[in-house]
Amino acid sequence: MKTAPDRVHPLWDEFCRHLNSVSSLVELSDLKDKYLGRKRGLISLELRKLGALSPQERPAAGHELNELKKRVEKLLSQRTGEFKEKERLRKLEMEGIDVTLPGYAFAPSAIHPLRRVWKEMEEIFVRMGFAVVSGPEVESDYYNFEALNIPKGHPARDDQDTLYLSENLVLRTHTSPVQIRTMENQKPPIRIIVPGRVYRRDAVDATHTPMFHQIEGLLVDEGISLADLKGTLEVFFKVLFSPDTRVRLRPSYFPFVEPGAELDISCIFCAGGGCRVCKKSGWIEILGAGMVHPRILERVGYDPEKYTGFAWGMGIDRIALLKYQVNDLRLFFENDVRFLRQF
Amino acid sequence: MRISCPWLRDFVDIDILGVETTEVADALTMVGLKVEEIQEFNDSYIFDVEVTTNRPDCLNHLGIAREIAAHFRLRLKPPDFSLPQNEEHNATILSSSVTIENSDLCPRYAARVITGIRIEESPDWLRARLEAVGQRPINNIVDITNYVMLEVGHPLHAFDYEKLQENRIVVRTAKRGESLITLDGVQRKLDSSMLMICDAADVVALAGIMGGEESEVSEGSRSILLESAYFNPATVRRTAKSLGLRTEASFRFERGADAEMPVKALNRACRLIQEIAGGTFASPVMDEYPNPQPQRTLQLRSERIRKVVGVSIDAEFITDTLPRLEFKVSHAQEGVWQVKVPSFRVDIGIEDDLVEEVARHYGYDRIQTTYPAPSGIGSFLSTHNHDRILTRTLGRFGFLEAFNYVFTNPSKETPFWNHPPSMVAISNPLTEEDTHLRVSLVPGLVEALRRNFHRGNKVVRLFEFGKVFTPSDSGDAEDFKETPRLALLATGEFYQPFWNTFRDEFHFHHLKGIVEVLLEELGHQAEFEARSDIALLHPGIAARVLVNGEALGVLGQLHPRLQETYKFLQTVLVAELPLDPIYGDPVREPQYESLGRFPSIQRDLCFVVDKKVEYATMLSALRELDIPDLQDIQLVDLYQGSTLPWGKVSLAIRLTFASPKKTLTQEEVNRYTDEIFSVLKSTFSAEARS
Repeated sequence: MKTAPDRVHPLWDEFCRHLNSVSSLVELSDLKDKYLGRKRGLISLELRKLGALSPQERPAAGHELNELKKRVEKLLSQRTGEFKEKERLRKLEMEGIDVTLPGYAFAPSAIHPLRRVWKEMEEIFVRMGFAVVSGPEVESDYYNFEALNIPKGHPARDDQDTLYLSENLVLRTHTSPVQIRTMENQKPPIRIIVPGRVYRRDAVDATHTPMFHQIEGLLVDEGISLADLKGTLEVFFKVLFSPDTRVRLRPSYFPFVEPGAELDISCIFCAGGGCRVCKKSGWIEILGAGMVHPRILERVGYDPEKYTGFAWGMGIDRIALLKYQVNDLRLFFENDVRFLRQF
Repeated sequence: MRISCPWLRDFVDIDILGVETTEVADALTMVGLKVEEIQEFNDSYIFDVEVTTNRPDCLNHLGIAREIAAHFRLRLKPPDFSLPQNEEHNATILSSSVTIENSDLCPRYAARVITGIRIEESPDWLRARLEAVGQRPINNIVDITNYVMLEVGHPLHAFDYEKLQENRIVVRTAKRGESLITLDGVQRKLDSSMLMICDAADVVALAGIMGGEESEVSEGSRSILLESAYFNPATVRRTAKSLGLRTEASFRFERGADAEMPVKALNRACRLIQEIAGGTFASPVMDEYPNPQPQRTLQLRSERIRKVVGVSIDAEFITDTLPRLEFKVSHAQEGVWQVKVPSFRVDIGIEDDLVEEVARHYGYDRIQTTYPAPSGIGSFLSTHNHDRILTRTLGRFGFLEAFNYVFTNPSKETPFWNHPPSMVAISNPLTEEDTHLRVSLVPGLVEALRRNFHRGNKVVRLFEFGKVFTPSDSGDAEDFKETPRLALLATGEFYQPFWNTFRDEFHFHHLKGIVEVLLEELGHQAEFEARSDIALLHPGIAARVLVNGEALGVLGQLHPRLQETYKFLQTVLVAELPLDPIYGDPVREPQYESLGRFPSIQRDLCFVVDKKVEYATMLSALRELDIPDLQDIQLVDLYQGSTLPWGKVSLAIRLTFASPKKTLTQEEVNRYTDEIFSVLKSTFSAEARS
């Protein structure tokens, strides 16, 4: 019996030649039809001829043809894969974009610098246990002045040039009236801050605007001292500016506090070394404060021997100037969108 | 207050300290007399000291020197206040007298007559001292009065003795119709509330403020009457204010001069006059002081110091410091003292004032910080969350917050209203621009827009939170409301410039969408109603916002009339909402709703209707059908153009159906859709369009 397992069918060489000249998936499909097509495929025709062979010859020839068919199929599918991969790469390449084109310019949200610092300050004080309260912008002469130890004819009225609406009504010159309003309606302990708008009869320039913003603070309880005021505001400014910030109290005068003080912070620009902003002193004057005047405590029905308290008033606008290094207060009220977008 | 260092050396030996001038300045700052600036002047230093209104005793060199001496524990050397006499005793005694008619307003008046003086230029040293602190030298007599004022703080005035009728002084209030030409050449009309210095007949000076021109000391003067008085602070202040005349003298008197100083200051000035201008004392010191002011005595407890300041200060420190400031301290019991207040310390009225005296010389900077014990929980305003939500939402849409002044004026407001609005007026406005308080936030935003356009900013979206001030109908000036509002303004391209998007101007329905979202965020369902009667808005592009049937503000396009007034080249959208009603309830927590297990089915309906049919009317007709499975109706297309008959509009609505119980069948959905279309057809004459 004669077998020839190593013999390569003559069609194999022919197929290999054809396959090498194929350059597309379409041609590859034609090639597949030519050899493997059910009716006219060259290998299919050969297989059909097997029936004419003698039973002795048939197994070897059949084996040879089946081997050929398998090898052709394998090669065809391999080549199809290669072509498809090539096609995919070409398609991906065509889909490519210029990633350096600008992205859609979603408008970044911004917060007005005054609002920004206002909210930040509020949050710090709330964390320190203060309750935020508010009061009217149009105040009676009583709450704005009289109740705060500034009777008519008091020289301190000169310090705050006032816009009057009538004999008895003013645009509040400070947030301090809310101290009185709160104490009249509440018993100690009091621990409040009062952010809000205030008005002075000032001409507009780089450092003055007739309308600005303050945060008033008031803490009344048993055993509250000037040392507590210092500690409270020191913590506040360390959080607001930086942990290195130092504070200093200086004696000063406000009719509604005694003792009175001004609070300076170490210059945030030169860290106390002396620069243009702090006029070489190393300190920046930041707020007025003091111990609530005993007469005010009496006026609202608190016993000044039992309760003591401290109060302060600081300018939001001034702190925004410092914090964001804005050099002109007027910018806060011009509402130029190029300015507003920066915050 | 300008303070000269060489002058200070007359009273306190600062050189002995061997410290820098800046250390002296720092010491002053730390005792409450802030040195704003140190200036160099002719080889010496000038301190610019900020003297708070409660410390008139420091508006002079002696007062400042006292604080320095107390701080550095040095001896204070006051000037010679003793009574100067003529060297020879044969001086002519001229007749003169002082009468105080109103001792409430003038508690004390001292004077002395000097004759035979030479009016001339002051010697160099005197001129130099005055110039160093910014005082213009005039002549030796006037300069000496100014010098004494700057030295010991007491204002003096010299009259030409020969110009005083009957050579005497009467202190009284002005009579009806009297007037005075003051030294500055201005004729002053006087009224009966004003305190005057007069001679036998006429007014010769405004008490404590300024002398008259007529009795002024001039080159030809030979004899003078030198006044050194103490006036009631309130009367000087009132008169100075009503005459609009503030002087160095009134500045000191209205803050409170030293009632015990007049004779001392007079003596000091007489001594200088004798030295510099010659002359003979022609009268004794006339000192009218009918009711000498009692010295105040206060109790001071060391316990109170500890309580208020928060530190324990040694008794020795207290009993050493207060006398240096000329308080007289006597021991009452352990830790308690009786303290006599010097007459020049008009600011000391209660124990805590003494506490401050001790504390400020102890040094506020030596106070160790402590922290108050916790009390209560911090909290924000009840509107905090609402504000935050609105601000955040507006930020998302590219709106920037504006801060505008609340001031306005009628002519600025008029273009915005049909009738001039009634506004709250400021009784003492600073400028003609800012005479009233705003009644709306819109004009301010429009003004801000004008500024932005001027600077080339064409895409502008602003919002403002702020109060408006509306007078009541009662006409009572003190009866009006202060209410918070929110206003929005938008103009220009809706999209950011981009290479891949179509362009669209910000228009009414953009703004409407934003207003809807804002209200929805606060839990309100907004409805809109066309209005043609809002003066500041385009009559065809304006609406009122309604929540639960209640009117809550307006929105629309700025009226073309205003656009023209402001020369705006692009349309502007504005909205204004009152905040109180929409802030009414606390912000609600979101509540989960089931997502539904069954699929939804969508159907689009295209139809043509008359343009006059309002979309909202159709929508509510469809809602009234009450189809429970109809989940949503969305307008997905609107077309009006040449392919449609005139006055018609083509709409496409997308209907979404879903049931919580089952998957809807095509038949059910078809039935619903047919029902909906038949309503559109019968009620609004809609015609189907494919």
